[in-house]
Order: sequence, then structure tokens, then C-alpha cells
Amino acid sequence: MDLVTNLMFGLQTALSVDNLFYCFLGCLLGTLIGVLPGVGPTATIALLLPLTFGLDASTSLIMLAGIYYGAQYGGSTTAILVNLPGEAASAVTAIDGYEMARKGHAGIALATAALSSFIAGTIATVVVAAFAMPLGEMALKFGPPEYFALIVFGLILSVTLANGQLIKAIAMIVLGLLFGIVGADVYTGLERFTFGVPDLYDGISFVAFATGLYGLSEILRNLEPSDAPSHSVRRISRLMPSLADIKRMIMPALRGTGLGSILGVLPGGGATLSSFASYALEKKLSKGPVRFGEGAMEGVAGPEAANNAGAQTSFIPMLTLGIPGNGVMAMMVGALMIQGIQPGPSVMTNNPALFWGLIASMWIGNLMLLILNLPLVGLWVKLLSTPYNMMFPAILVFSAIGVYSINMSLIDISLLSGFGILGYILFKLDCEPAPLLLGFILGPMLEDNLRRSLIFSRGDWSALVSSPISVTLLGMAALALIVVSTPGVRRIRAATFAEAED
Amino acid sequence: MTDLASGTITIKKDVVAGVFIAAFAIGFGAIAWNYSFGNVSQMGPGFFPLILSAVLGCLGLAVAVRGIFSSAEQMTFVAPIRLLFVLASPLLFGVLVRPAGFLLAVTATAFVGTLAAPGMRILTRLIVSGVLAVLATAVFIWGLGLPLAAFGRWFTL
Repeated sequence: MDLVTNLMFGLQTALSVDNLFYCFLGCLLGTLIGVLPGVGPTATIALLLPLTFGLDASTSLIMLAGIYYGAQYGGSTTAILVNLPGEAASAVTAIDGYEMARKGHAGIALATAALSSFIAGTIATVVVAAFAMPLGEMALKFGPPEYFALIVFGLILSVTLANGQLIKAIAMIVLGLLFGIVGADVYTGLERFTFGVPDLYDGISFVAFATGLYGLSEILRNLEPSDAPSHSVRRISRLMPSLADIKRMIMPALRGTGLGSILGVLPGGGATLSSFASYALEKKLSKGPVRFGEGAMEGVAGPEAANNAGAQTSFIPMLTLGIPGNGVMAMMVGALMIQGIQPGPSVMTNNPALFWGLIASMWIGNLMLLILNLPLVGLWVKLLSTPYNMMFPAILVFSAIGVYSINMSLIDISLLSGFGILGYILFKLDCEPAPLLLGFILGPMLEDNLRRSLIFSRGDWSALVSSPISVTLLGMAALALIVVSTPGVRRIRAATFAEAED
Repeated sequence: MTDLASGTITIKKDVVAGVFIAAFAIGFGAIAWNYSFGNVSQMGPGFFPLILSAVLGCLGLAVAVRGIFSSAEQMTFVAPIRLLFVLASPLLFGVLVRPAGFLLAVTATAFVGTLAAPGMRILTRLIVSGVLAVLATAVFIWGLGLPLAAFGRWFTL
């Protein structure tokens, strides 16, 4: 089967009534939480995970994916109109987007963001389809040593590319790995770190872990005393960009798509890094009268395209290798496991409908988002006035019901509160939750592949570096660590992420 | 300036972070110490966690040591009483859902949750929790068919 046949096959799945409905629901929810500040996609997906129990596996993934890329659209709306990025990935959009709005070009800025996102979404769908197959086929040949190397590579790269202090991020990975291996040891049946609690025999509940870490701690963060100034909403002028506008936005959008597609695939990449990098690139490339920071259209088109492309291509390693590169993808892995599907290269062969259906649904979802966002933009802006005091009790209720409904266990609920406070403390200490979550998901896999490698080699450590693939992967991980630790690169890395705060 | 009740504290962040991380390392390490270590060709259940704990301990120490040379900064955090309400709210659901039933459990969860928000009238809090409870019951019990009773054994007397 070639690419076109596969995509057609995927379209068949994605166009079923159920899948269309849930795709729409996901995009709608995504836009909603993208607009609302203080509610992120990771937390939302964690909250909705228990609800996907009753759904078909492909339907549930299609909906959850819609939330992720939908949030990229919604986040840009508030970034432009209110200078309040709903999502981290839209932070750079606010710089020039809000400036455009202040000069009376709010409509054009919104249209630029939506059209660039749509262009990127369309291209990225094809990129995902084209690259997923060869990568998946390669991964089928992986043995335990290669998988061990791949996981190490993924974990290390995810922290070198993400924001935050490197050493703390690595500590978070290791802590996550430890939380991940709580439960019965597969080789001996010994219960590890369970304190004799039977509810922990199968490990810490993923939903309790993720909901506490993201959902509850987010609430605590939002309830901090703050003196945030109130924002005024900019008026929306004409929406349709002129031909000259489209000419101006097309090249930055295409460059952003390219950059986002590449960065999205890398662990730790995804939407946020892509948009920041694209803004930096457009700023470098600009010559002539374009002034960044004063309402440059290029500064909206590039990052918006990049974050949408990055959001989509970050599915590639998750779908083909079973290795999540960021927090949202860790949730997707959780969603697959709830459905009894082991993420990895076998998904493509055993569940082709899920695989290609999800990819095809991304394009359909992007089309829906274009329609949802441009004409209905006024409606979304009204939502901004929803008081947070009404929202967070609802989030608490949803978290409690969701976590409890999985095992009907009081222990799981206690873990929810426990990880809520842990997540909050770690946040206050500048420790990122994403590496913790990645470690948690990958902990059992890492241990299992390490043990199997060494059993096969009869205790010979050199087995871990016996194949060219594992040597390359481990070498690249080491190189990434060294490069990021050099003072020059450390400065660039800090500057890329600080861009939005200037 | 350190004022716990209003939620500000001045600390050397990285020192606290390092010690916090190291504490987890010691906790996990101490437990894993009791598991069989095995050898490299046949790893026991204690092998991997013990190594991880050791690495985590070193990382925590490194963070703390580096933090000693940083300057203390002021930090704002959520008022402890609000924190307690937020953490207690889901717990209440777990405790109440069997005896009192879903409807009352959600009402209590939402109500305690609203207590974490300042400046709401008691009536508003009650209305918000009541509406949430009815909505949640409609969606989860009647809509999605979650196998939980809307009214618990307190009502079956």
C-alpha cells in the first residue's frame, strides 16, 4: 500500500459518523480550553481519559488529538485579542499579534493565525503519514538493547530541548522512573514500594498521577494571590486578508511548517519549542520595513504555523515507536494502554484503522477548526469572562469522578491529592512536570529492556552498545547533554525561551 | 519576609529543591535496599530502583550545593487554607460516594472546592455545587451509565 491508499483508508475511518462527531467534540473542547487561560491541554486530556473507556480506541484517540491541536488554534485567539496567551505555545504570537490588534488589524491577525495553522496542519498531516511508515518498519527490527537506547535517547533529548534547568529536569526523569516501577515486579512477582496496599499491585494509576500532577496543581497555581491586571479585548475589524497579506504570510507560514515538522518529531519538541524557534528564525530572516514587536504579520504567521505542525508531528514517535516525546503524548500512550493497546510499531500493523484514521482525522479536524475559529471568534472571546471561581470546582469534581471511576478505589483518590500537592511543590521549585510524566510512562519499559538485554548477553554490559543503532542513539544522547551544557549553547537556549518575556 | 498565612516566603529555591529531591532518593533507596539485588546477568527486583535512587540522590545533592551559592528569593504561594480545601475536595468524593451516593458526594466535593475561592457568597457556593452535582449525575450516571448509585445506602433505610 502506498501513501495515498493509506490516507484514503484512513479517511474512511475518520469520516464515520461517530469519529466525525468526536473529532468535532475534541476540536471544540480544544478551542475552548485554548481560549481559557489556566486550563491546559495536558490537564484536559488527563481529565477526559477515564471517559474514553467506553469509546472505540480510534475514536478516543481522534478526540484526544483534536483537543491538542485545537488548543493551538484557541490559544492564538486570546493571544491576539487580549494579549493573554491561553497556551504556552501561543506566547510568541501575542508579541506581534496583539500589536497588530492594537493598530486595528485584529481581524487580519486572527485570519493570519488561522490560515497559517491550516496550511501547516494540512502539510503536517502528509508529513506524519509519510514518515510514520518507514520509522515504524525500522522499529519492528529493534531488540531490547535498541529499545533501551531509544528510550534513553528520548528521555535525554526531551529535557535538553525543553525549557528549564537541565539537572533538575534529569532529576525529574529519574523520580518519574521510580514512581513508574511501583507495583509488582514482572520477573519475580515481588511487590515493590506498595506498602502492602493491594490497589498498588498493578502500579500507580496513570490517571491519578497525571490528573494530580497537571489538573490539581494547576488549580493550586491559579489560586495564588495575584495582581494580574485586567485585560481589555480589542475590537475585531474585517477578517478577510487581502491578496497582498496572503503573499506576505505564505513564506513565513511555510518556513514555520517546515521548522515545526522537524522539531515536533524530536522528543521534547512539539508545539511550544516550534513556535519559539520559528519566531526567532523569522526575526533573523526579516529585512526591510518589517519591524518585529510592532505588529509584524510574519511574527504571527510563522509561529502559528510552526506550533500546529509541531503539535501534529509530535505524534510520529508516539505512534510508531511507542515513545512519547512530551506530556501530551504521554497522555496518548496512557489512552492507548487504557484500551489495552501496547503502543509501538505493532499499532500500525495490528490496528491500521486506528493509525491511519487518526492521521486522516487531523486534516479533517484542521478544516473544522478553521470554520470553528474564524466566524465564531466573537463567541470564544465572550468565554474569557467566565470567572475562574466557577470553573475550578467543576475541574475538581471531574478529576475526582474520573480518577475514582477507573478502579473505584479510595487509594487512587488519595494519590490524586498527593500528586496534586507534589506537582505544586515541584512547580514552585522550578521543576518541570513533563519529564516526571515521561519517566513515569517509560520506567517499566526502560527496566524491562535493560534486564532483557543483560539476560540475553549473560551480564555483558557491552551488549547495550553492540549494534550500530544503539551506539548512535546513545552517542547522540550523550552529545546532546554535552552540547547543551556548554556555556554558549546554554545562553542561546535560555534566550530562545525568554523571547516571549521581553 | 516570611509570612506563611498570606503566602509569601523567602528561600534559596535550589537548596530546598535539592533537599526535596534527595529525600525522595533516600526514601526509595531505603525501601529498595530490602529487595534482592541479584547480579548483572540476572537482575533482582532491587537492582534498577537502587541504581536510580543513587543517581537521584547525587542529582539532588548537586542541585542543593549549587543552590547554596545562589541568593535567596521571595516566593508567593497559595494560602495553606485554600490548599487544604483543594486537596480535601476529591478525597471527600471518595469517602462519601458509597454511603451517601453520587449526588451528595459531588455536591460536597464541589462545595468544599468553592471554599478555596475567596469572596463568594455562601448562596452562590451552594448554587454552584448544586448545579454541578445535578449536571454530573445526569452526564455520568444517567448518560454514561457509571456503575454508581445516585443515592447511597444512607437513603435506603
